[in-house]
Amino acid sequence: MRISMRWLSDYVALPPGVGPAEVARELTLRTVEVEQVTPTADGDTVLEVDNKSLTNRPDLWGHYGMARELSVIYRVPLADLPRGPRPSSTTDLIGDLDPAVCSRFCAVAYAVDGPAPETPLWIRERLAAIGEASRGLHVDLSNYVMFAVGQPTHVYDADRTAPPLSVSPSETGRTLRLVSAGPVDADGEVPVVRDRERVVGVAGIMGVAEVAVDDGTRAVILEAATFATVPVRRSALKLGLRTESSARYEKGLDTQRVGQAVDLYLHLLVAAAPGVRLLGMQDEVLRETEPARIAVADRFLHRGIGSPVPAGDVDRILTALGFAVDRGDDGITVTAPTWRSTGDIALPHDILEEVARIIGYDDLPAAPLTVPLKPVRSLNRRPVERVVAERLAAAGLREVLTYPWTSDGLLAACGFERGDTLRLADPPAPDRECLRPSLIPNLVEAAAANLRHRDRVGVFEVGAVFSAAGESPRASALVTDVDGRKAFLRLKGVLESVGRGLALAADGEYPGWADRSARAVVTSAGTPIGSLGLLTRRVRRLVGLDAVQVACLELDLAGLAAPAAFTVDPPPELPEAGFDLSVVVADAVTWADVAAAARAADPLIHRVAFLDEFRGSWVPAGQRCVSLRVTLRPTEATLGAGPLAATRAEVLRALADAVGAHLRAS
Amino acid sequence: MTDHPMPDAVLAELAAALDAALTELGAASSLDELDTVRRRALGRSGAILAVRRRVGTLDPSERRAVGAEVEAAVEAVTRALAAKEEALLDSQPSLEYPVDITLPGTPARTGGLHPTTRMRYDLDDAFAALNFELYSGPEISSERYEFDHLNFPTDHPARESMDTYWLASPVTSADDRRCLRPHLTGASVRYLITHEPPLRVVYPGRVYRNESTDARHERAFWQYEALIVDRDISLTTGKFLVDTILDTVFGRPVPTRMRTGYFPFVEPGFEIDMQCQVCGGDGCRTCHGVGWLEVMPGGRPHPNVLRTAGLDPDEWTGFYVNIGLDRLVMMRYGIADVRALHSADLRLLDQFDEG
Repeated sequence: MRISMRWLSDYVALPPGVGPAEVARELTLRTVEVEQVTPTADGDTVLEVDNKSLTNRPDLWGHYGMARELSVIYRVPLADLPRGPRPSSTTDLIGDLDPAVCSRFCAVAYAVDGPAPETPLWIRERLAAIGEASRGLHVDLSNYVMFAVGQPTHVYDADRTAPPLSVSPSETGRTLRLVSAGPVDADGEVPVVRDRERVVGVAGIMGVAEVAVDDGTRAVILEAATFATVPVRRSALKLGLRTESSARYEKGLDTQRVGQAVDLYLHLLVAAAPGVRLLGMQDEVLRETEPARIAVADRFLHRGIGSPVPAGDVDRILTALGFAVDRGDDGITVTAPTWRSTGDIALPHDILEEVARIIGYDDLPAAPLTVPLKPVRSLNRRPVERVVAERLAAAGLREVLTYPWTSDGLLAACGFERGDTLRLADPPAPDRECLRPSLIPNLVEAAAANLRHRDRVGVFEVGAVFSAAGESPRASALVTDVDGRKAFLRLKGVLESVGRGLALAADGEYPGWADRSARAVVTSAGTPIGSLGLLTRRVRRLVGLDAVQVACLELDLAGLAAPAAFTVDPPPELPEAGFDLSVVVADAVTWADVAAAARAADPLIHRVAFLDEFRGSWVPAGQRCVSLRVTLRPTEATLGAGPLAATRAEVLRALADAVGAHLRAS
Repeated sequence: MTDHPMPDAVLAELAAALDAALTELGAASSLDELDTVRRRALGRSGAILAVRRRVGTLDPSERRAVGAEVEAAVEAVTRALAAKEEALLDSQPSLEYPVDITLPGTPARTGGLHPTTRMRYDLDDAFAALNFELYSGPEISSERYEFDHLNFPTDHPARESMDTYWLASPVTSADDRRCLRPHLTGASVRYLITHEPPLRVVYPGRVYRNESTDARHERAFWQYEALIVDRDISLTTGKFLVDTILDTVFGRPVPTRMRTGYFPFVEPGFEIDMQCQVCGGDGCRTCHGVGWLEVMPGGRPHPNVLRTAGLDPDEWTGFYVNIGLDRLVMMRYGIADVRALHSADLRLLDQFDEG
């Protein structure tokens, strides 16, 4: 909402030296958020207020309400609103009123003879400052009143309207032509204002074009009514029409404000059109807004704020805001003004807020928190998501965050069934309505995007995945390399660095994205919890990665085993010794078989490490040469050349017997 | 007459050997040459040791004096060798060619956590020290938990202030629409229902809004909410929580302001703004020109929220602080556009170290 500083000055005289920036700051700290301060060409300044900060304050949807806040903040008087003469009462302007929609309806009939009077310049300037164009005297006055006191009014051309005006639900199937919107279809749930013959307006939202005032209008019916919050809001949502008027009704307006609005309108009208004939007025009040009454104990206020506030300050603040304060022995009984009694003020907590905000939250001290002596959340119980994320980062991968929705194309290529996913009703893009059942598709997309400006990528993400069964925490990692074997083994190394009993198994169920030449089931303490594999060519083709291999890992963190108890392996007391071997074995023989056979050859063998493997040139087809390093840890005496040579012969014999290996011919 | 050699002849030999050794030593220009000098003087077949072997052939009465001369010569050469070795070590650099120190260093590491994650963990640690528990609510929640339980009246416009991603039918149940959580506060009621006060809890997580994106707004972003429920929790206590958060994140004083704010689930409610760290408060695209950025709304839980959680609002009070984690990350590192944080762009993310 826009607020004109000049307009505010009609109601409140700010202390000397207080300028727009200062007003914006004070309003922001104590009342509503001023988002922007803009000087106008003619010397005024406009404050742009964030409407979200006004949601609970129907009294602030006009300049007078804002002026009241400033009068409290700066402790200066608030001027009374001017009131014009009221015409004599009639009974022919208002008909039946639906009490579910309308609690007060006031109608005034008047006529202006002769040429149409112009809107006074000062009113046009006020409206122009807040971005409202002039549309003739009657509409301008209606707008001015709304932006002054926050009460919408509506003006009908009386020569084309047949009172009495009544309020009721619309008929179904009626198309209405509104003043400044396209045709709308009203159904039975949209409350309307109608005259004897037809619908003349959608209650609280907008009038119908056929009865709108124009340059030729000489007779006018002014409507000022209190429409209920929920029907107006539903109706605005249904019609897709949010207007300045509906925005105010949605917040909840008090019935008393109708009188304020009519009085101000008539004051302005008589001044602008001295020859106006006020023909009659009818005011029906079905249910008056009751002021809220709240008892607030002194102790409640002091304990809630955290520091004592003098009774005099409490009384002064509340009185200036329009509350009546009745002070008792240990507290106060507060009667809220009606403009704060439509839902805004209902509890002692609301009174606490009024006092605290005007004192200023910024001026309250910070009171230290006492830490209770109870068992401290153990650092050993860090959430598994954090443990895994920190391990993956330490392994040289970079964490990325991607959206929870994922593309249809990648989902299909990765082997996920669309029908198994949860979907958004209103997705961010037409092909992204599925919530991710896996982190892999989005990681693949992120990798492809990054590979446009670098050679290789190593990334991971930790986050939730979704299915009809619910959501579960996952960790996924991805590395790329032109050599697929390297990519796979790097990611296997990353996996092993996580610990938690993670290992690979050859048999099990594989996801659709895993290529059959390089895939494995990941187990944690023997239980399958994920997959490691290279992406299929189909997935890579889809994201334009034909020339690079992509290894992916996905873990279900809910299944990760608890960390095993950690014990230290003491360093050897005697120097270790060892030897390297290169042996030729059949392709079908795994490294695990080779290592196990070598290790079993001598009890002093402490470890058998893989060095390299080689195929080609001198190695016969169907075989490969594997290089390994055998390390012995002596227990009684340092090993000399003799015992080492004996062990080496034992290892070769064992390899020959167990896996048919023979020493590489040198 | 015996055949003992004359001591003078032996001493002359020693003098010659010593002289030769010192001369050669002086001329040596490398450690290898110095090693040759050492061998020729003091080696098994070296000149001075050859003289030492002859001492035993002298008349016993001469041996002590000549022997002492020989040992003095050995020591002199040894000392000179050590001095020369140090001089040569000092004069010769480790590398044949000096290093071009402007060459790029070999990266110590390439991995790391996302800056939002890093900040989340920092806050976890800070709140753990204040004895807060860590809780995690579900990302798929429902209208009941996100709005009904939090004192949003039916059809209240505030329900629309959060543009929620609702899940498509048929998975939405008739009486409780499911959604991606639009904020974290719904998790507080889940926690309160299952835990006895007094309690202190933080529950970080990602939330989702169906709105158009710009430099300050994302569809997916992180919040970090802290809730304390106890007897007599006041606004001034709440300010202490706010200070804890800012100290943790920035480690230096940052200009902030605490102002009134409205959210249905708190009464009273507030907003913490911090001075825009992108422009230093001068006004820029990130702060819409006002120099301040909302980073932390919060307030005391509304009595209706406490009641929903089964707590008596006359007995229990509390304080919420909800941190817009992405905004704090932007402020901490001077990132002008929030969308960068979800871009997975390694050109940006690789700049973050673990410090």
